[in-house]
Amino acid sequence: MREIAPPRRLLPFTLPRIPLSLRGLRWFEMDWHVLAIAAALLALGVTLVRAMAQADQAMERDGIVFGNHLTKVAVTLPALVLGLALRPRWLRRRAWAIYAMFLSLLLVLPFIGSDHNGARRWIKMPGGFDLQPSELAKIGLILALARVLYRNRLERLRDWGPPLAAALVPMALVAREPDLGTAMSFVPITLGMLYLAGAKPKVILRFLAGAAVIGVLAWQLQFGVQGYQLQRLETWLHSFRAVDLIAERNGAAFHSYHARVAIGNGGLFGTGIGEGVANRTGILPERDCDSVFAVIAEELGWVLTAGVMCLYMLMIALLLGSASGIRDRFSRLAAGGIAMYFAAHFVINVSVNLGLIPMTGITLPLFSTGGSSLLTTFLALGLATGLAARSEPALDKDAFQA
Amino acid sequence: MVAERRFGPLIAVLLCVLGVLLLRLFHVQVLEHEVWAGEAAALVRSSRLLPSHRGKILDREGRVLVEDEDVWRVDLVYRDFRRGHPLGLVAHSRSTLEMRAVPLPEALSHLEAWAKEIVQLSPADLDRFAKGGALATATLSIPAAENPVRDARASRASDLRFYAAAFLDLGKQDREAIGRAEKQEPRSARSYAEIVAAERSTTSSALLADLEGRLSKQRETLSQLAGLLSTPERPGGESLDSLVAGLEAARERFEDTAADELFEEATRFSPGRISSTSLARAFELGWIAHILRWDPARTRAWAASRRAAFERDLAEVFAPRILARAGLEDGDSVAECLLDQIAAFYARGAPPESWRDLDEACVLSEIATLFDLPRRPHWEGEKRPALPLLERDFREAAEKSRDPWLALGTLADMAGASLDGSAATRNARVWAARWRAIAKSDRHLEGKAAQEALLAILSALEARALAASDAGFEACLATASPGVALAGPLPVAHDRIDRALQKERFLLKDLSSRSASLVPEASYPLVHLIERHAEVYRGFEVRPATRRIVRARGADGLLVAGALLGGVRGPSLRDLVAQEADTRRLRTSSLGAAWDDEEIADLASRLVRTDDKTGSSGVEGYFDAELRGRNGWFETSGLEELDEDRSHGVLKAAVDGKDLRLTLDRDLQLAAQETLAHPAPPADEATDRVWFQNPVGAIVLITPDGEVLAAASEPTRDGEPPAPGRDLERTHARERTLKRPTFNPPGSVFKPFVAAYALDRLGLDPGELLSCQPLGDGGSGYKSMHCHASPHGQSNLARALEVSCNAAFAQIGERYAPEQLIEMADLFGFGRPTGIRHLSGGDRERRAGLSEDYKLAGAEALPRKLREPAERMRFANGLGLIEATPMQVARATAGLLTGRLPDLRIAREVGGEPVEKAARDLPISQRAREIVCRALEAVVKEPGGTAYGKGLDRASLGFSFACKTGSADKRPLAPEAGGSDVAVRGQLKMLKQTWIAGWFPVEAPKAILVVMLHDVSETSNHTSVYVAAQFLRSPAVRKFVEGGEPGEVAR
Repeated sequence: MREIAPPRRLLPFTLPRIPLSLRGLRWFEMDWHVLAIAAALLALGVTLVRAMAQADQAMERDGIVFGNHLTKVAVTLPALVLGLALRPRWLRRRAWAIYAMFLSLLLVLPFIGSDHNGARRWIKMPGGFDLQPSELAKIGLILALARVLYRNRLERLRDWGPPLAAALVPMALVAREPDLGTAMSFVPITLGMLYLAGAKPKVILRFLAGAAVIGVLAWQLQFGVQGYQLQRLETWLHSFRAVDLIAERNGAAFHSYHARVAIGNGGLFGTGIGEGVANRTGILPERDCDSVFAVIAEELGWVLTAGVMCLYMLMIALLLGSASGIRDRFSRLAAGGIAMYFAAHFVINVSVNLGLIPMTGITLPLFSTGGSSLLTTFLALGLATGLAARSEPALDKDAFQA
Repeated sequence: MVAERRFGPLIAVLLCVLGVLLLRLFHVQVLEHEVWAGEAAALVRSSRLLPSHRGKILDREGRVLVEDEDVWRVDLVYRDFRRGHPLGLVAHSRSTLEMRAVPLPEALSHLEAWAKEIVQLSPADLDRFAKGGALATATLSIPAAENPVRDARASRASDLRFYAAAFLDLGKQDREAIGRAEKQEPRSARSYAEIVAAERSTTSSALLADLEGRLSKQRETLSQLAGLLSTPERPGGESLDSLVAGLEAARERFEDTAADELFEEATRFSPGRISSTSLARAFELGWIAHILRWDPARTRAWAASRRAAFERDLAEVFAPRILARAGLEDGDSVAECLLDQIAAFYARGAPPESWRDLDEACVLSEIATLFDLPRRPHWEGEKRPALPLLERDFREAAEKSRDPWLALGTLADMAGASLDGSAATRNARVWAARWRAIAKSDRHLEGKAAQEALLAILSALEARALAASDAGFEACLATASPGVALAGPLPVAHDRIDRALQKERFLLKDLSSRSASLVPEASYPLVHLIERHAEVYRGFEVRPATRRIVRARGADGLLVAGALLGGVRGPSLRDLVAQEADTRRLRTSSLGAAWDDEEIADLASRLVRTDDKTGSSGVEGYFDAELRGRNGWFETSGLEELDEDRSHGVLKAAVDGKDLRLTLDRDLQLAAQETLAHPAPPADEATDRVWFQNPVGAIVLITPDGEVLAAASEPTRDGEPPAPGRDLERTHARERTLKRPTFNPPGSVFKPFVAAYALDRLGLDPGELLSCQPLGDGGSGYKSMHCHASPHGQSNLARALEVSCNAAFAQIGERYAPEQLIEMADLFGFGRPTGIRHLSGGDRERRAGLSEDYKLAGAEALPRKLREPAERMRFANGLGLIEATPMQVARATAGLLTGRLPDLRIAREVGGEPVEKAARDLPISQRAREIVCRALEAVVKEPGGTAYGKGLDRASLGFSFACKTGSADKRPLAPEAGGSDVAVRGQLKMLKQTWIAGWFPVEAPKAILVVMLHDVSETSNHTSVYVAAQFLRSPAVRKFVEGGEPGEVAR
């Protein structure tokens, strides 16, 4: 009788289980609508950036280079596939590790980051790519919160401690950069996920009211708020009337003024792509990034911009809808958190440009040109659609609550 | 599932948020669209003024007398110079390194070495420097900074990167290479020169040698430029050193202004508003020094100069502006406006509507919050208003009196103002009376008295405000460090500095982008040099301009009719103040939705710019509205230069001024001027040789229907030495044909008009004999009226005119009633305008230029004074109470000749449109006029005639001439004046105006000539007749007489 030899091991050690797999994806159940809307919005964004680059080239301005944006899109697009391929169980197990990894980037930022406009928010990468860890930290926070809230139903007061701590640590690190705007964008993501995890609305509202009181006190007592932040607040408070904003156009309200001019100039039907004053003068700061909404509004006009906004909100709603159908609580919360990520960026970015909240720099995913933003956006989209299309069994408590 | 049920409400909340966002978007995009579209249009709008040309002034034949000439001016735009010219780049890059304002002359001496030091820095050097690290160059070592932010290291490093790139004259690929190096080689020691050299496939030493070569040529090119910067004061141009010193002065002015604006932005008041001591003692000015890269010495120099500069502006800018604004008001509003303007001068922020609305004064209202102090400072007098305008007593007194002049006087009194330190003026009523008198005599408050009075008040107010603010700053210092004798300087509150920093970029850009005139009229070689080598002369800009140039000149450069044509000037402060409201409207036009582009263009073209020319006197002044064009306005929006189809330019084309064709004949005018300028002394021993050496007088030549052919006055240049024994008129160039600078009686040229009226209205018999008898005093005449030395005996009217018998006309004058004398003068146009200012319309009176002294002095008292028979006798002889200008005499003579009194005309056509002539019938019978005219023919033709044998006969002139001579004694020639005239006959002579008024040719009159000589010691038959003959013999007159134009006029 011939002995069956054990299979020969090619390697002298065992490989860990690969976290990436597209096999578990139920392709037909994937929310293609979300991806289609995202693709349409991305295409519109690319078109707008191309028009900006053409205007800069025509005016011989050192500004936006369309090739750079395309390169960034091409380089970061695989993150979508990466997000799709990440297995929920692996994510759940490694959530803290991922969170810790992104947190460590924030921690080392003061030492290895590069300065820009007095803030240290970027890490220079090979090939001229600047990585903004605070963007990736949002994904880390979403996964960490999903992990914390996976078994935590916020039924007792002490249940609030871990998720709030998980959120406050990266927020504090980002605020220290300083980047209060990005830090504040963690708030709606966190609150949204807490709500989805079962937090009572009353408690959330109290929390919000408390935060508002603290904010007002900090402003009035000028405690813990930097001079430029107070200045922005003052500027914002005096920016609602057109005359006041125009009077301060060469001072603190410069950015708000030019955003408002661009938006207002669009009118009902817009100036046409590439024809807006923002592109023609090139004077609107960050028009390819934080102020891209002003360019959209100006060049498309109210009718089409409203359509774009509805489409964006539809994408968020679809993300939330598909998240709601996930049986696995971790995946559901993570996908819901990602939807909140898009919602937070969308609402804050649009509100800033419309002057509804004080000026702060935050990207509009799928439109803004920043490499880190694109990377985070594609990764988040991949994760959200991937998690919703997985067939992995869920054995948590929620799965049995029909 | 609990969690699953929560997605719905979340989506609902998000939809609500979406609704809010859409509504807000609708509000901004649709409801506020017009406002923002206006702002957007303003952002892409580029506009420029299209200068118009002032119309030409031509003579009657269409020959150009005056016209606009296109010239070029050279301006300095300091921002471009700093950012583009190697000298500016070196000076400012060195300033950035050393943190001191490196002077341009110093930079010039280290041009190559310092530039090379910059390009030999590496991106890594600057990266380290930005983070606070040390930096070393060949000649400089900057230690590490403890506080990189305070040291402005990041912005300095950024500036140095710019300068390095500018020195290396980078192309696109070079820039990309540097960009790559800055990103990918943060630790690399490769210098900018090495990076660029590698990109250009050369060596860094070759690149540096090239840079050195380029920079060393800069001295040469700047010297070349300096040599061409010629002005009337420096016809040979400037030296390189003086050019660079001039550029340095421009830089200092710009930096001083920038520091002023930054300070004002933070403190809300100008640094000159406080004493230099307080500025240096109380204010920490390091933040300004950081922005402008100043060292402490430069900062101290700036602080020390602010108060003096402010006081200079107070006298030269603020006070004249206050007066100009008040001068635009009427009546009591002037006083009210003065108070309002003084209040506005001290207002914090926007000026109040009325002085009563002033609630706090600038500086004083800021002191308490200027600095971050541990507690609020308090000082004695804080609660007491420093300005009387804010005091309750003052306001109550003003309300009570309801007399704004008295309120102004009270303000002056309370402020402690005095003129020349006189205590007498320290009284409210005295001040009020003084202001009333000033406003009465100087309606527009443009005189010295108004200026002095206002400055006295402002100075007194300033003294009070300074004392109060100094006390406030001392209180701040005491609060900051109690018990310390010399605390300070104090840092200005952070929020205030932040506010200034917010505007810093725009402010500096705006200030440094303003151009300063370097050469008002550049020579062609200079323009060619700068235009041809624009890349070498960055910061020097050639701009088009125009200048008014007189084309017609005499042989010795004499301007043709200079005094009559007048001149042009830039707009006055009054002009600029008057259009302040329109200027403001234009600046804020983008805010007004009701404005359309056409309205903006129209307004812009109407506004007078500081370099526009306005006629100030003479023809230029009177016809200014016609001669002045309307500037055009071209406005474009956006990228027109890139795409023609996108052009939305609004064009309001420049409209050149209308050409003005005068009635003057250039040749006749020149002949008249030449005659007066160089009168040939006659052989007549009895003439006045002093006058012929120092001529003062006028010649007028008009057509019988009133067109002025020539109007010459002498002297034509100011500053001629005065004639011995005569008045100072020889030293003044004045227009004398329309004006009477001194007492100007017509003398016997008035007699023909007296005679004609007497024949027609008083029933004078032309054959009646009038006697001229010896008088008891050795002379002859009639009663108190003296005639010539030998009595004329019995003369009829014709003979009396021929020999100009004063006695006969004294008797005729006796027959006139006072009213008849006045009526006679009035009929012939004496006491009336000549009509030369003929334009009708609302602005007629406001037009400057061609003003004339037409009124009779003391006209109101004339009926009373003429009741005296002696005065009537004198009046009938053209003496005493009657005065006339040469133009009035010429016009009256034309009336006598033709029977129609014409309105004089100086313009034939305005913009191609003929100017209508006007005349009125002279209600004097033809018979009377003919008797008089025939008698005047005899003045030349008959022996005994006052102009007989004086070269005015047909044989001498080639045509016939009829005239009346006249001499009017004015005052005795001073004995000490000496001179041949006095010495020869040993008797005291009278100084006179001597005249001649006549026409030629007698049979078909073409022109009326009037000659008037001023301050002559001999009668007209020894003086003015020769001047007239000299003029009439000139080729220009001969040609005129032989020509067909103007039309002959029948008597």
